[in-house]
Amino acid sequence: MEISTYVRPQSLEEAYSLLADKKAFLIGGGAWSRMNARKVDLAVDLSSLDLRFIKKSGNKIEIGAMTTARDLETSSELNEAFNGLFRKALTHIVGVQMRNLITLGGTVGGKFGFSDLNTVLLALDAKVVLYKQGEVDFESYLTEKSKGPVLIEKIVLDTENVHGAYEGVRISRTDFSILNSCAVQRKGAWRIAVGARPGGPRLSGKAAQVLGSTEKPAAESAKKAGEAAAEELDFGNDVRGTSEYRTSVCRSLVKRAIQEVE
Amino acid sequence: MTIELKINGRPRRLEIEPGDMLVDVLRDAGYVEVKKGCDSGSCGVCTVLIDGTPILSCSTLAAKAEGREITTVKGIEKEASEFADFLTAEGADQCGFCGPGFALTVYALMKENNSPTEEEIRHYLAGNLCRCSGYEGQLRAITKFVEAKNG
Repeated sequence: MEISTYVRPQSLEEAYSLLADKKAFLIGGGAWSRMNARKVDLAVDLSSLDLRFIKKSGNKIEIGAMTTARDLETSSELNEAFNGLFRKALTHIVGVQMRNLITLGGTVGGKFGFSDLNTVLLALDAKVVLYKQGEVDFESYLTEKSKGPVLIEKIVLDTENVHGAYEGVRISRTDFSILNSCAVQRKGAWRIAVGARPGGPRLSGKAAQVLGSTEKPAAESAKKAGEAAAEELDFGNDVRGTSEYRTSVCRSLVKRAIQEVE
Repeated sequence: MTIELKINGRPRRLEIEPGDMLVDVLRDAGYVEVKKGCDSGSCGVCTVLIDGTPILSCSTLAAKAEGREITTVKGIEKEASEFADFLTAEGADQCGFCGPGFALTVYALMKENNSPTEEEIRHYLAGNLCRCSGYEGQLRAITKFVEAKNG
């Protein structure tokens, strides 16, 4: 990445002004800077805004935008609340050194197709808190055009009565996912997310419909939900896999994720 | 732009371009013990510690090091030398290019968890690739190093 000017604002207001007025490029962890050929006039580093935190309050967990993937992977509060879901989803992303760089805000902001984290956040029905825009559903955030400059403050998760499981397929341990899936059951309703299609994660409403309000679906229901997701969602080709391969993997992956929900 | 930081305990003031990556800035400043491998965030040979935490210097903007403390393998020379003896004893080191990154990552692992299991070692070191050794010798070396450290 070529950068002309680099600044580190001391407040969200200052960062937002730079974003709104000067179309600045936000830097979270900056982990993909080397791989990015973009020319940037003004880079705004969010490191000084105290956005690295995981706070539990009642049935909510708030996670600051500058919290690292490694923080999420090792957080006892987060992994107790979601039965190790974050640890499992994040543990194979490159190596510890890269997970110490990658930030929640950078991953969510980038809407990266290869993301494992975004698939989990979508299934968990996370809320994205945007400075000056307020709270947005993760699904809307992913699929709808923003009404203004996007400065992510934090993600909010509801921990009440939630059970989830993550599954992913990789060529090798530290590679990107060829496909990933997260199944979440909450208060009698399911959310089935599939990501790395290779596009970003999407929900399968049909898979959720198959499962209905069943808390512990039988193997046959889980299989049908996997088939429904494979039929409903779009898959593409890239160096890691073809559309046909992903469609086929989706059936098993979704089934497995559903069956792993405890 | 100018950044002020500490490298291996010494204050430094470095002139950088805003888009420079830390590995290049460190090597240009004479810290050639920081190795440059894949240059795309995959191999771990460029590992350094930033405020004690292992990161990939090829994937870190140098501007992010402002006010931070960087440790290269020369900053943990005593510990790295002890670890190297175990690598040698297990025949786990051939060309040595991955050695600085391995040593720093093992050092960081021991700071986080001084009695890691084999699975924890494999997991923590997953981001450090080696083209020569096949990893089994390194795993034996790390396991024995950990045992020796814990008496």
